[in-house]
Amino acid sequence: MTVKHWFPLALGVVVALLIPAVTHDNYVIQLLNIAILNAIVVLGLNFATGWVGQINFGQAAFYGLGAYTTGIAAKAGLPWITTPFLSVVIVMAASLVLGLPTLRLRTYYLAMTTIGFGEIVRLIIVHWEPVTGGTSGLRAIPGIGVFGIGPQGQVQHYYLLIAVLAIAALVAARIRQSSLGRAMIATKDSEIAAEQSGVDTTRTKLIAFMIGAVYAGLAGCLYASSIRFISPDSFSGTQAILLMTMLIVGGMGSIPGCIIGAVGLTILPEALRFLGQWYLVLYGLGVIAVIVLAPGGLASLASRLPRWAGAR
Amino acid sequence: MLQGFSKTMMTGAALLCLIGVTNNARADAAACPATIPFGLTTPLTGNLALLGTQARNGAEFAVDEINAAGGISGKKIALTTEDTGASSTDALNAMNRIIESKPLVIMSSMISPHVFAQTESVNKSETPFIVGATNAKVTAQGSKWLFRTHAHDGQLAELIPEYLVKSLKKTKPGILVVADDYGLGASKGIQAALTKLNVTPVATASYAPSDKDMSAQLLEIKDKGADSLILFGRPSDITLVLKQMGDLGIKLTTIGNTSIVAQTTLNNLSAAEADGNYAIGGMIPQTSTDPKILDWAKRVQDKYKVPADNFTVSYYDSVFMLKSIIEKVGCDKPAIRDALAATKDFKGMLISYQADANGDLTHTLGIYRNKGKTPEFTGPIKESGF
Repeated sequence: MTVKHWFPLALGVVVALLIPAVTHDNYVIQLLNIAILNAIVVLGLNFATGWVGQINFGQAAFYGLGAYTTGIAAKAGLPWITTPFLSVVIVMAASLVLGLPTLRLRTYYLAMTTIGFGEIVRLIIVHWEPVTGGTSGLRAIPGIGVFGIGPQGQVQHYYLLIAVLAIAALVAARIRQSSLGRAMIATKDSEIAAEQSGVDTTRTKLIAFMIGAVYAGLAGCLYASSIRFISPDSFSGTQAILLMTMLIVGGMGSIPGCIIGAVGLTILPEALRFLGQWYLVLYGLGVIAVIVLAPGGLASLASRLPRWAGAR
Repeated sequence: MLQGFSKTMMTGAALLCLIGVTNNARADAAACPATIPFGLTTPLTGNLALLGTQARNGAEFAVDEINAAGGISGKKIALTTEDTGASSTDALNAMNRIIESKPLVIMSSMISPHVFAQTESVNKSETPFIVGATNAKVTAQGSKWLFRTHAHDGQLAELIPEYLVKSLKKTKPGILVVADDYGLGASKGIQAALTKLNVTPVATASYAPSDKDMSAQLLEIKDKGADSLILFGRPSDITLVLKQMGDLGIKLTTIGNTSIVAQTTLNNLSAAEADGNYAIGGMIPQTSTDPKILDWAKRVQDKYKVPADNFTVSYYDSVFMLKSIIEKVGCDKPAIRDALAATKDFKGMLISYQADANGDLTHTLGIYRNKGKTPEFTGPIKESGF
């Protein structure tokens, strides 16, 4: 890694760490906490969609599965430390069952299946009321804590979530550089060519799909334990589309792009609140503008800047 | 150099503490600021906007009237409204934003999952919290800050079966509800109430909030020999159900929540589709015979281009209730909370409010019947024990 790569990364880390020192506004910190959780989920979505090229609308459902597994387990009295593992086991099992039959097929089958999967998960949550709380959701979910030690208040949650996001981004970067990452990109570029080169494309797609689900499941676990209330509307089809939009706007296939897209599209509606009901118009126009003017997403703008500067 | 820096910092910190202490000493607990800040979170965009705007309309209309008449003891109310959209996460964001502006009281919408998501944050801020959320469990959360000024589905679940069986003499009802927090919560309560009356529903069905075709559920209810239909939903989907009943030729005595008599529903139905249907719920102004109330409903409609409904009335009354309390106890949050908890016979626009141990203030509901496209007030019905 050169200075050109290190500098923006270091600057980003410093800014992220300094935010709570600059603002003591709990609203801002909580908003950033939700943005960080979205960033983790979008990083997960990037495996199957950004790197393997499979359209996945099931990420919100995996997010919800992780959140509900944690909520139900923690409220049943299980120690918090067990909940991330339980969430991972559940989402891995679900993604395996969903991915095995569908990822053998090409084109849009995964998109169709994951839309159906999201609806099935929503209906189970809504109608299995004694366990999930139904449409009223689950309240008073125990917070994060290991042997009685856990984050207190929004700021401490913020630092914990920043740490988890950093680990999630590092793991994603490592995977991208590995042979598995190269197999993912090869599968996206041309499945036939990748298979001719010895890549098991079905296995690659399944692994990418499952890793993405694990990211969403872990983010769901952290969401349930930090917000302490979950309801089906937070993991709906609308959320699935929003996650996909975050990925596209940020930049498909780019780790910084995932983070920029998630943080940007979480904060933007709040930043535009002063416009009242017109904010949706500006929000929509902004998203369209990014897609049209920067098809590679916001992350691609950074790489264009030196070219623009040189052209002058 | 470091020592010098530390000393400067400590002196600065001490000065800041001193300023803080002086300010606190100057503050009088009951004194109101120059403008009295009220906060409201409600859905103004998304698929719940039709409902959410009613809360905004009621609260805003009351604030405008109070301010035009000189405010509360000469001080104007400043109402800040934040849009929650349709998701609980966004509702929590909107509430945190409101809380950071340090309002004296906070109102939230009729959407129960939003209120569930917000309650913990409001409790921490120790601010009186008035909601219209209809899930019976909302006031059972054990929050000493939370109060509700609208009828809840627990009351409807008790009163609708009772009226259907005892007054309308129907013993073979079918149940059809919207599959959201409101409808499914009510369905469960209705089934329990029917069991107490020794009546078993012939069929129980639901539809998703976004569904447009409910004919399968309606035909199932008809085929199982129902003599009546208990219907729970939002105005948009209730309109579709009643239209499809007309299309399918299903004629059943229909009773449900006030969406059946809401003006937004009736505007989209023919007289034949609307006629004869019953509703029990919060009070609606259009059926009043009092010219003052009818004039109020007309002014609300003229201003917002949407007819006032039971929620508009409830949020309007909430603001006037708060005005009355603040005039008595000042701008001290715990005192306002205590006064809300001690409310007895506060005269609202259409009913009197009385607090129970949970913080529920509404115990009188209205029975309505559509005559053609015009809802008529049949009479009040009270929750048992009130």
